Amino acid sequence: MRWLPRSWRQFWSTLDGRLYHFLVDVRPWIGWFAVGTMVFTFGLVFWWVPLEAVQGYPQKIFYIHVPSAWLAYTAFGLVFVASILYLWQRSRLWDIFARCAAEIGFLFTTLTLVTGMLWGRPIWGAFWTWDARLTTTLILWFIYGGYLLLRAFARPGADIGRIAAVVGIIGFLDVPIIHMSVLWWRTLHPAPVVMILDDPGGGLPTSMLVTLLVSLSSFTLVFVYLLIQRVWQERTAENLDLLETLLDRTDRAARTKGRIS
Amino acid sequence: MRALDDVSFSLDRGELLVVAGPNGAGKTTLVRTVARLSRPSAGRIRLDGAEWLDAPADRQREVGLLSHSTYLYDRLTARENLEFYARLYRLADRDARIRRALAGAGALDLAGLRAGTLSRGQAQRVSIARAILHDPGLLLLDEPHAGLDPHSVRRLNGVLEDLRTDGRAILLTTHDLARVPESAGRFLILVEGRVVDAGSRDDARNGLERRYERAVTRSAGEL
Amino acid sequence: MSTFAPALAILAKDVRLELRRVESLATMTVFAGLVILIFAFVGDPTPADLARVGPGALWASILFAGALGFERWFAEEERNAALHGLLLAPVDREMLFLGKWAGGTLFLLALEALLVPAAATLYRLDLGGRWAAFAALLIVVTIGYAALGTFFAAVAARTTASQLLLPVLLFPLSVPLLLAGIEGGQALAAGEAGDYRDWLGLALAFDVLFGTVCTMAFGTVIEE
Repeated sequence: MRWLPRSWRQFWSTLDGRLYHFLVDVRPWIGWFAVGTMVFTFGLVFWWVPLEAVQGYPQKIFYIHVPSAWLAYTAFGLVFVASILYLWQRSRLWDIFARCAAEIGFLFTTLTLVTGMLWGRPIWGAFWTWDARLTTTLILWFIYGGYLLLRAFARPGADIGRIAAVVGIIGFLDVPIIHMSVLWWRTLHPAPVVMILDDPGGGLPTSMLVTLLVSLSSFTLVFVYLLIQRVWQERTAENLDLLETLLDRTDRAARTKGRIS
Repeated sequence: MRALDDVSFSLDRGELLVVAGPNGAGKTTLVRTVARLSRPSAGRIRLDGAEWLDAPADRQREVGLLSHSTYLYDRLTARENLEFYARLYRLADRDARIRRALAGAGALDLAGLRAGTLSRGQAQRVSIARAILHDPGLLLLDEPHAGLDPHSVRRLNGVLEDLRTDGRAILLTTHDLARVPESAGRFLILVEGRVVDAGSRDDARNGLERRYERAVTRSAGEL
Repeated sequence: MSTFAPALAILAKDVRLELRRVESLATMTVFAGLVILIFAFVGDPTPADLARVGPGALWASILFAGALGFERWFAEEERNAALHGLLLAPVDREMLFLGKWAGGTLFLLALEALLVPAAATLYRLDLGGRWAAFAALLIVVTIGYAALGTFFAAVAARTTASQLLLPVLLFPLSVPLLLAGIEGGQALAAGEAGDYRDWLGLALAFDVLFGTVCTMAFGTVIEE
């Protein structure tokens, strides 16, 4: 983006640099805060919030399932944004960020699928039903699994960050279309005979809504902590690699000089 | 890490510049950068006085490249390969140009053979025809002598001399100074991405090869 | 037409290469035929079961054979680093993609010309004479699939396991096209013109969106 004024670009790079260091510094606090709120959340879920009348105990997985799903989609949104920023600014940080967000998004998608299946078994009588939302989530899981495999199988020397960024963008653009097509596929057929908690929050009693929101916040904190931690790890690993190569080179040069003189 | 660092040179039409260096010195990176196959993270190149790295794709026709790979499709004949490239470059008068390029590269007799059946030396000649097909002003040759027998080397050097006197600027890389054409004007010695020595034609007569050997041994000691 | 001359040159070259080794297209056809055969074991060979499984068998065979083909057709450009020859040419990257995309579409359509009659015969598929509408759907879906397939073949070529990774990347993203093919065809057979038009529209929108995105992003993937 050569047309951007130089100062603007500098503004950006200082901002993301400072923000990064700030986040790395406050990371332990975020971690401990996440642990605290998570304990609090489980307290609410198991002792405070009243039992749901129809479903009983199985419904409690809702407080894990919904935040996981929400964060999974958020993570892939972040992959999308970071991929665009990487192609635009070519800063290593965005590449690492996209990769780590995809990893964590994949983790939360897995969690969503597993909790969804555990919830479905007692309620629908089956672990799986080909409902539109489930199917889309499963496809999403495959898309980002593929994204991570692509990065893992990178040919040595290939600039895989740039290619993965393109895949991250295309994958995200495809998600709404996939969801729409799957929705049509289900509705054009005889409607599936399942009961789904549509639109949580709408008909939800206040106590449940409060618990859900608290759970959502604590999951988000865990998510943020994991993301910062992973980005920091990857960046440190890259810096170490670079340092090692540099040291190696200086070392070799020094040794040769000693021998020749 | 930088593959090339502080490498700076100029090249005129009708001149042949030799870039010599051991494997891994950055010769291929240099050639690929000038050909715009790789983008440098920093630095600039000017071609005919204009910024080259950001020039439109169409100006790419001013460059010809011969690399380690032939860029040929094995299942097409030499002529069909050139025909494809001629259409890709939107050349007018294709048949005449193909014949001229094949003749210039000494490959007229290979026109009807499939690229997959050619020997290394033959494929090299067809590749040269491909590189000069669109009459580029700048010709880049990455280790053109690699894998050729002495007869083919002499033949290739003859072709290069014709191309140079034709008014083309030629950049040639090698790891073996003994095979370089007599007409080479200047030399750069590249080790670990840096120019460690440079010389002119006269230096070539006395001692450049020794200097090159020394530079290479020094770098080998470092490895 | 001269703007598209480089793309046409690539298309003509690809056709010529493919005709030089018809075996490879023939093998793909046999492979796709086997997929159709295997699907016959999914249900009982009663007319009702056959009609239910048939469209899925047809589209699965196209999907699988396509993934094999895209990988091979792009591999032509990797041999002798011919891709670098293309990158070196005074041609915009978009043209390179259009050429490869057109080739992929053409070869896949050639394959389908054999597969569709085969599947229709073996599974007794009856469209009630609406073959032209089905051909339109087939072409629209194929164009979109070839766009994604050509693009992701270039992506997978940057890995050490391109044959393995291409379907892994390609199939999930192609779900809308697959559904459009299966459901659109079934709507056609059932005489539900409205549903057919919806699916055709979805596939068309997919073609336009991903055709554009893939064309624009191709350069980013193949450059070094």
